[in-house]
Amino acid sequence: MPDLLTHVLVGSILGTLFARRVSGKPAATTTVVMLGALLPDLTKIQIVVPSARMEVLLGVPFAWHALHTLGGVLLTAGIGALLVNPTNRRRVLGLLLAGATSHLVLDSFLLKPSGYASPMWCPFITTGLPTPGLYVSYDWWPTLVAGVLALIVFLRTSQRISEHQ
Amino acid sequence: MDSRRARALGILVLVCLLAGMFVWAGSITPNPAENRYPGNTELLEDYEAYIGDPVQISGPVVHTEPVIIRISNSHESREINVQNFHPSVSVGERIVVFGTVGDDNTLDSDDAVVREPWEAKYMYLVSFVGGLWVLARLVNGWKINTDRWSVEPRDTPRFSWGGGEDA
Repeated sequence: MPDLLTHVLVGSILGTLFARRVSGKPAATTTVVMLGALLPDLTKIQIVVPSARMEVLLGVPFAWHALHTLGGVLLTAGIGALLVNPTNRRRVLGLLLAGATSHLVLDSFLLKPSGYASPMWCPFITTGLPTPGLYVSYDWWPTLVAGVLALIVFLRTSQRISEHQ
Repeated sequence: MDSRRARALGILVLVCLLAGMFVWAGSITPNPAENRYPGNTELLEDYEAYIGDPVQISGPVVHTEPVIIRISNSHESREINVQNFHPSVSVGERIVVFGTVGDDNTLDSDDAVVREPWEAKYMYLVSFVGGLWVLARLVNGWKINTDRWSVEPRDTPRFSWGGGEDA
């Protein structure tokens, strides 16, 4: 991943742009996309409980990495959508998936010494796809770029709202 | 058709599918022909099996000239002598390196990424900020309706600035 803050900032940009178009509360809408942008990094649970320990515990192959794949986020976003009230369900599903997909897309540009990204489009594509290697996860400049863009989008949207009032 | 039972069943089905995906993902083995390279885990389990193969491993630098990194999992570790490695590194930095496994704990390096200790701290710190931000927004704009056991947007956020909606 680029750091989580960058993902969340990109989620806020997308969320703010979507909030103009979908019905519902703009701030609440934006939050859902930002939450979606966190979903793939639920895989970081492996820092606390490594996949290898789960394999020993359960006696079957096990990889938390499934959370950081398209199939995984379809399921976690689905669970998220079922937790909200029916009127918001489909909208929340779409917004969570938008955020989560933006995360996976950004991560597919990460620099890897092998030149190939981890297979994050499972179960649809199981091979590692070539990565352009634009940044590493601890570069600070993607955060800065995302932060400036998020600020511009936020200010322009606020301006629009106040013009309409 | 939105009884509490149907929703609970739906969630249960998705959780089971997710559990299935964990197992399935765990059973996918590295395969260089599909650009999935063996890593620390495989090399620690059976070093000899990967001699001559491409791998991508990572670990802290424990020695410079020659560059040696330590790869480890929760219960074992191994020191690998990284050859043909040109970036200058110091002890404590972490490298991810792609190369070919040689005899006697060596790796012929093709390409590598170096991470300094402060960069890891930076990453964890800003990631924490990102997580906290989303949590605060969720608590501010959404609520749990205990009558229906569902999550709903608040009619008015707990806190909003500038009197606007975009808190």
